[in-house]
Amino acid sequence: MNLTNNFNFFEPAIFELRLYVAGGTSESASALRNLKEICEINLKGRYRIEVIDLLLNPQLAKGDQIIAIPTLIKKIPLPLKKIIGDLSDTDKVLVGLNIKQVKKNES
Amino acid sequence: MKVNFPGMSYQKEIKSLKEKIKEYEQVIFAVQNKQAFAVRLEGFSENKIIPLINTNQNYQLLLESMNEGAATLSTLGVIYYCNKRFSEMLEISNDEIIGSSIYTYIKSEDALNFNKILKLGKEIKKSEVFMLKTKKNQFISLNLSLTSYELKGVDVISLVATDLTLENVRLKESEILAKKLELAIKSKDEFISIASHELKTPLTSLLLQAQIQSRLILRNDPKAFDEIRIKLSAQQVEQLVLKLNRLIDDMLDISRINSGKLSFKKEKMDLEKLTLNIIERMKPQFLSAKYLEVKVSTSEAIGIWDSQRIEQVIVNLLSNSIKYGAGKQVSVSLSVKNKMARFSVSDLGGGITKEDQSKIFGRFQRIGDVTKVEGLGLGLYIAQQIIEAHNGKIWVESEPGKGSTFIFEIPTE
Repeated sequence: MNLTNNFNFFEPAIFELRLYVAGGTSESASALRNLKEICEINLKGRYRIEVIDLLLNPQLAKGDQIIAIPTLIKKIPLPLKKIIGDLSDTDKVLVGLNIKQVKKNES
Repeated sequence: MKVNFPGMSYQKEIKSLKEKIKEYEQVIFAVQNKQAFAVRLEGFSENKIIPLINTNQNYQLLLESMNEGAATLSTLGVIYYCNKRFSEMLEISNDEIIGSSIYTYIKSEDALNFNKILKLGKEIKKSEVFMLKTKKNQFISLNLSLTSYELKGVDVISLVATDLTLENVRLKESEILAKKLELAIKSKDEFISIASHELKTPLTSLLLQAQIQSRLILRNDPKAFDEIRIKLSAQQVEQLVLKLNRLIDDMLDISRINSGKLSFKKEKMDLEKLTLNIIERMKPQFLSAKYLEVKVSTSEAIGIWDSQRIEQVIVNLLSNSIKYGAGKQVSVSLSVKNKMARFSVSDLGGGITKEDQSKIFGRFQRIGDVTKVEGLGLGLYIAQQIIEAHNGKIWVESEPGKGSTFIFEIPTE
């Protein structure tokens, strides 16, 4: 058991992510697909994704002050983090989620 | 004891501002790199989500130019997208439709049925007629074709709406057109049968005349060379040929009118002189139809008209009064008032019913017992075309049992 693994031990088991999209467009779908792919590879079994369609529930945008769509919010673990864009840049997403190191160590 | 550290509060604010700036930088980066496809604006009467130009512009263009309504729905019936045509069909703006539920527009009686289709989930491939409510609370009948798709992990339902009311209107229009065509073909068939009959009658008489003559010559019959008989026969032949000529002229005129080639040679002419001339020439016809009296009252009428064509009209009107006037009195009058020459022919015949009055200026129209009256039924139609080409008008005033008056007016200038 090395240091990094010890560090992982203190990490919360579940990532709670919230993805804001607008409408069932192909762009919304591709953002969700990108996120799912990243999570499956890097957080398998340790993540929960909540998709909020702002066309369906526009009032839900207020709490997280959404400016651009899509926006991904990492609610848990803290600190809260926002990642703006279609999540096509995997590295950016991993840095944003603070799991870049996790990926490095696991591989 | 409370100690205030103003510097700390500033630091907190600066930190939050820095975070905000970083976030906006991210937004700008995402927009610039086409990684964001919509922005959300706050602070207006309501928050708006504004889509940014996306890479699917070509498809969008296609969808927007479609004559069918198109929309995408969530599996719960929320409208994610709709094209211009769909919003036109419902007479509701695009903005209002997007994000609303399809059930807002479906007639409540149809909602259950629609829900059944949506519940099929991935299996949806249906085409059914639904009544949808427009902004003005009117219902329109739309055929909705619904198909479900999985778009990169998300179930989306595509909807294509065809306006059946419009379709029905088109169907009705084509039905009316078909009926008109049918009538046109029927009247043309009738015309051909009338025309062949009309042409055949004088031809038969001509043939008979010729046959008699050749038989007499063959038999060396002195009657063949009887001057009086020959003269009479020649007169009959002339009449028959003239009649054939008139019929053929009428048919030619019709084909010229149909192809817009009826031409006019307008020159200064004296209508009074022409009228009196025609009446004089037609005296034998009046007499043979047992007309004892033709009342004529004319005044000078000079204008720039096609004298041959006007003559054609007058001869036609006079021939009609001979045909339909039952041998009673015929009156002809010509006057000028307000720079309009007015010609009229009245007879005391059977008259024309209101229904027939509207038909007689049509093509191939013969009213009453058509078997008893000869002619192609083209005369009044041609007359109308001629008078209208002179910027005039022609009409009939009649009452059944009280005779008819045909009138035409043409400007003298």
